[in-house]
Amino acid sequence: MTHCARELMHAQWAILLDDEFVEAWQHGIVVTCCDGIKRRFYPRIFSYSADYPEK
Amino acid sequence: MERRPWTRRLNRRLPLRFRDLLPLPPPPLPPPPLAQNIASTGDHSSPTITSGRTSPLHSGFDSLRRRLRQTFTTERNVFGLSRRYHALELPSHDPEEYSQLDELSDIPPPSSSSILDPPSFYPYPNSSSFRLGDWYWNGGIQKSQSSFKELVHIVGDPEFHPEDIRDTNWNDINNTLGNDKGDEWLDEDAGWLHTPVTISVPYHPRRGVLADPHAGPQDYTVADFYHRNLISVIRERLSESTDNRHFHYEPYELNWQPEGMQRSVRVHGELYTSPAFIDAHRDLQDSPAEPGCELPRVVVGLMFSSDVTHLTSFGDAKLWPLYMFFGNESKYRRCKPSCNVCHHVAYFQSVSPYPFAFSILLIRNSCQTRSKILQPHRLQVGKPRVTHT
Repeated sequence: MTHCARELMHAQWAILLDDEFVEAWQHGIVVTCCDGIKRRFYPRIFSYSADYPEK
Repeated sequence: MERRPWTRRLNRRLPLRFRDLLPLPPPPLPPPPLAQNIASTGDHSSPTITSGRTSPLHSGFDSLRRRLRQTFTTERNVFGLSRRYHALELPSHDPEEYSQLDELSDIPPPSSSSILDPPSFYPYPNSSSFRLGDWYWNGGIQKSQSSFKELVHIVGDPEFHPEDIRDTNWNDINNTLGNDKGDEWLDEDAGWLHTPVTISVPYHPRRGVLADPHAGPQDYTVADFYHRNLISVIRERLSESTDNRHFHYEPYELNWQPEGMQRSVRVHGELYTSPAFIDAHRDLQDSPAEPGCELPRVVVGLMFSSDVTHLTSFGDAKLWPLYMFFGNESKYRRCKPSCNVCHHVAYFQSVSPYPFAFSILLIRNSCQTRSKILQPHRLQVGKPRVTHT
């Protein structure tokens, strides 16, 4: 059961952090901001506060 | 004895320990031309650009080091707080400019704009018509004493104006109400994706049972995993025109140095003033740029949080949402639901011990197995039958 819960959680995160996200992580995404300036944004994950749903 | 006039008391100041200062945003940045002309003056109370080395060095390594050491410090505000940027230039956008008192404290703002906006009674033209219409539709099917009293109360209210309802076209309004398909909710699923999740469940034949040809890892597919595309959420947030002015594109150090103190103390509070963010920003600036791209590069600080949420007081209906915040926003905005800076990005599926598909899988794979559980007619009939499984 624990194994399944963990596998399922990881599988869902793998869907969230898809290829597009990894591409953006490495090369950034260009967005025109509200002040009219184009910037290249790089997502970085700083915190993940959650229960680990293994039980 | 003559009494002192009361007015003199009003001029008294509170003792120091009772005086309270209103919160202030960090000190403002100087105007750009001023910053361009500032040399290293050594005066710490004025904005300075300080460089670690004075002699020009030509090698790439040294220019990099020089750039890293280049900092920019603002003036101190009344609390002794100052900002220090690790950058050559002033940030192109200063979110602190837009900080208002109500965003820095929990003091309610003195006036609300909602008072100025007249309330809308659409599709009813005015309050009197709305109250009559409300009585008609929501007052119950049959006439009753209480319903009659309600009507008398509405009509007898001094706010009720008979001339308001004289020209009201009730048929049109009722048709509008009847044809309302709730257009504003049609798009509620926009941006959400359903993805089935498949995991591999290992099965090892139990001891003492003959090896099953179907033994081994089995795939178990969980019903739809409900989620959003992270990049589209980020793009949507960054290009929002209204709320984006509070977005910090560049991190800074917040330092505290009250009068008379020799050294400044680092203040920790926001993600965009944290060493982790500054390091990430610095790493990004030092990494090779994308070929042919001169755009400023910005770190988007993502902060995820997730916890199981019970939906009912009784029963075990629950969800497991995943929230995403942007660390470039102030925590004082992130904690306010009205700022809408929290994003739902997914609803996790969890492995319940008794979902149907999962139980079948367990039964199929568990010991006793196929012949007894999935083919019960064998036991009843008493003689072997050809079955297709």
